[in-house]
Amino acid sequence: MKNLKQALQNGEILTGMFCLMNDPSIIELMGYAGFDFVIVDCEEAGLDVYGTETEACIRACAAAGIAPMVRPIEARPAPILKALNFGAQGVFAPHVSTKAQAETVGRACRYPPQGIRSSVPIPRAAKYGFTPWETYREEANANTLAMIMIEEVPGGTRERYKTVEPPEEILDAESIDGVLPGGWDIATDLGIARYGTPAEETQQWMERIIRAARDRGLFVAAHAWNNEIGQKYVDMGAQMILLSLDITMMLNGARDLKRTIESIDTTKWKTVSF
Amino acid sequence: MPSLRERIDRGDVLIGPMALIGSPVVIEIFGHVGFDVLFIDTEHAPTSPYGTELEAMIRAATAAGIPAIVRPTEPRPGAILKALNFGAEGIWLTHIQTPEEAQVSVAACRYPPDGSRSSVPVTRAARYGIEPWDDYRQRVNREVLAMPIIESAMGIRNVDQIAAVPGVDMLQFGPFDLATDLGVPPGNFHGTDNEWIDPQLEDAFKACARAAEKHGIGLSTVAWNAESAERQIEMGAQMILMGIDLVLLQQNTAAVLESANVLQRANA
Repeated sequence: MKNLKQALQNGEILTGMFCLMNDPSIIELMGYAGFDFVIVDCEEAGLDVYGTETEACIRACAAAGIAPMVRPIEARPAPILKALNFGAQGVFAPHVSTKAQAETVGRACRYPPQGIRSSVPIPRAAKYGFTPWETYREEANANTLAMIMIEEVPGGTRERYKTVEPPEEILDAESIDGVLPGGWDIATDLGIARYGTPAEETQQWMERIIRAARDRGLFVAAHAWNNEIGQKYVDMGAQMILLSLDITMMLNGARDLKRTIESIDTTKWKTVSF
Repeated sequence: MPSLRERIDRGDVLIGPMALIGSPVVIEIFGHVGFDVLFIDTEHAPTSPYGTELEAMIRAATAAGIPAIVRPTEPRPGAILKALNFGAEGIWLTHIQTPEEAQVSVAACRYPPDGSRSSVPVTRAARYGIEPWDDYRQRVNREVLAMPIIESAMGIRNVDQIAAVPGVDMLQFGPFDLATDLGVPPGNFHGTDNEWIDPQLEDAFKACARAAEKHGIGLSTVAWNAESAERQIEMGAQMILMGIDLVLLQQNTAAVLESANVLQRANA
């Protein structure tokens, strides 16, 4: 299993995807296929970040040698703690729209003195205590990836309901490691969400967030609808490229099968005798 | 939604995939894509035939409008009861080799006087009692599909007697286990040769088709491509398992991974 943060520090390009199907078998399949990481999704998907089902998905990552990241339900310390204790290498905290929230996410990912992560020496991530506490604490603080998602922008509709600071301000947070611009949500926020290549205004925000992150030496993850967009993000400094979704691949597989079945001639039933 | 039994009786050919992953999400996807039938496996798959995970999968099938046939780990009355109580419309009875074995497991698919299924009026399949007990009992005894899987040399030898057992609704041809038992390659299962199936397996399939025809019951089979499906339909197969969730996902993962590798190589 890759140490994602070290790989990013070494300049590697990593590929992975959000897994929304809540299933350890599917996570293992992604590992055996050879992706670098999965993001176990506990925000939009059915998985509960607070419970053992998420732990089972992270365990499946260990079994298949694929690095686990988690998207918790909210950018709050408690669900982040759960994900990290289960063994996630880091989190993608959703809907972070202020610098203060970003700082909370980053601090929730580290034990004191660097952060506020709650302490116990026996989480699964520390092999239930087989990794000595001091070693684990030090490694966890050094290697955990605190990634935030920026999914609202100034001028968008959500500003009516929450504080939305400009991305440059949010990314000034000192405790975070990087950002994933949430293109779909930004587009929704602007009222221009659509499948495929994002609208120009969405794309501009995505690129502005990526530039701001790179200017600050932060890691960038980006969801690419295709390799052309993926390459563009890589050229801008993105290192974690998210491709497709487990649900999309399953749906495509089922649709392919449906087309094959529809091509079968069933009108000759029982026409051959033997 | 007409039952599988109604569709079989009116002569429809029904084709659909098998779920091995154990995920209600996968089952809903299959339902929304719109297959005729879904086979839920608890023999080889990690799902237990005895618990709420199978119930959740069958519930997902209902939610997405796809009828489910369940393969219990073993053709034992307890496991069959669970699947039927959860709402399965048919049961694959694994490794049936003799008429005696068929008799016991087929009986477990129906309430008395037609069989030995244990009775309670408040099952999910009877909508927790909203469907009156007598209506449900009669309907399910009429509609359930008891399907012994013929998947061994001995099963093929006895196939005529198995097909003659009252209550057997369809024979299910099981080419993979049969190929293992006969020591022959499983035809073009893996696309490795030009034959649609090994000749010994073809003979075995024909024996099943003849037995089904003679005893006036249905025939179900497995196909691994459109051609093998058509060959078997022409020889009398009316229901076909085609496609497995894990394999479909694997194939589509390969394409995305290739794309990922291209990106990584370009930027190495």
